[in-house]
Amino acid sequence: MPYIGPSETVQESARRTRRLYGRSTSVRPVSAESLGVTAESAAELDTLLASVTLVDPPPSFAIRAMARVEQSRRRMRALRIIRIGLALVVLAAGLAAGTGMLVTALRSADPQIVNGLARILSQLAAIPGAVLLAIRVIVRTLPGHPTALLAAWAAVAILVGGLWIKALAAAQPDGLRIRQRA
Amino acid sequence: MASVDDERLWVLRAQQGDQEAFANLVEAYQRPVYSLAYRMLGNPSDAEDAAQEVFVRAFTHMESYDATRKFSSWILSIASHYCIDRLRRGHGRQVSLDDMEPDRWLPDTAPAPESEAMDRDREEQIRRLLALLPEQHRLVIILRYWHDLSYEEIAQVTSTTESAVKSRLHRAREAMAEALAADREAAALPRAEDQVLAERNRSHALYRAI
Repeated sequence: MPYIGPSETVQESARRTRRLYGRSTSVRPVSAESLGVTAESAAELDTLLASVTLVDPPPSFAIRAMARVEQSRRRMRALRIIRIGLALVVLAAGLAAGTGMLVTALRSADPQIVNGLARILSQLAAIPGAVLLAIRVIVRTLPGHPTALLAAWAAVAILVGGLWIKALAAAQPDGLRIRQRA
Repeated sequence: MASVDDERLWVLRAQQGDQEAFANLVEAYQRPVYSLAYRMLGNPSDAEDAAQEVFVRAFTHMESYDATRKFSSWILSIASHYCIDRLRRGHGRQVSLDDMEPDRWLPDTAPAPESEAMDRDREEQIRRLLALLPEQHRLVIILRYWHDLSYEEIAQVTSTTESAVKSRLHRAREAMAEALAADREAAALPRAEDQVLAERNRSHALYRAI
C-alpha cells in the first residue's frame, strides 16, 4: 500500500474530542472538578496535533540518499572481497603448513614414500603438458579433414544455441511480468 | 503517487538488487521517513543523516522484507528503531530554536520544509512539546498523528503490544496537555518586567498628578 499522509480519521477524531470536551466543560459539576489536565488544554492539544503535516525533506534528498546506498554497496563489496581473499590466504597457508608437516612426518617414517609421492606429483604436473600437446596435434590435423571441420562447426553451433536459449529463459520471467501488468 | 502494483514491482526488483527500483521506493518514502526522523531527532541535519542511513539499511536488508506486510510499516519500523538507537547513543541532539538563526531553522530555506500553513510559532510549540516526551512516547505520538497509523500498526512498528501503545499514547497526550496548560497559565501571568514597568508608569502618573 503506498504511503498516505494523515487522513480524515485523525482530524475527525480531533473534532469529536473537541466536541466532547466542549460539552463536558459546559456541565458545571464536571468543569468544577480539579483535573490535572484541563479539558481546554486537551482540546487545544488535539487541535494542534490535527493541524500538523509531514515535513518535506530538503531538495535532492533522494539523490543523496541513493549516492549513500551506492557507496555502502561498494564498501560492502570491497569488504566481501577482502574477507574472501583473507580466507583464501589462510586456507593456502594452512594447506602449505599441513603438507610440510605431513612430508616431514613421512620422510622420518619412510623416505621411500616421499620419493614415490614426488614421482606421482611430477607425473600429475606432466598431464597439462600432454593435453596441450594433444590439442596442438588436433588443431594441426583439422584443416586437412573436412569431416573434422564439420564436427567442430557443429559443436560451436550447439554451444552458441545453448547459450542463446539459456539467455532467453533467464529474461523470460521479467518479460512475462511486464506483459501481465500491461 | 505510485500504485500498489508499481510499489510491489519495485520491492520485488529491489530485493533482486535493482538499484533503480529501490530509487523509486526512496522517492516514494522520503517524506515520511525524513519527517519521522526530523520529529524524533529535532533538527534537520541529524534528520537527513538518519533518513539516509534508514534507506541504506532498508536496501541492505531488502531480502528480509516480508511482502505480506505493508512496505510503509516496514520502513517506518527501521526508521523508528534507528532513531531511538541514535537518541540513546546520544547522537541525536535536541537543538533549541534559540540556538539557531532563523534562516538556519529550516533545511535549505526554499522551499520551506513544513507546509506553508504551519507557522513557526506552532512549529516551535510542537517541537518543544515533543522534546518533553521520552523517546518511546514521542514515537507513538508521531506515528499516530503524523503518519496516521492504527494502534495495531504502531504496535508492529515499535515491536510492542497494542495495550502498551494505548498506554504510551495516553501518557504522552497527558504530558503534552499539561505542558500546554502550564504555558497558558504562564502566559496569563504578567511578566516581572511588565510589572516593574507598570509600577513605574503608575509612579509617573502619580508624580504628574501631584
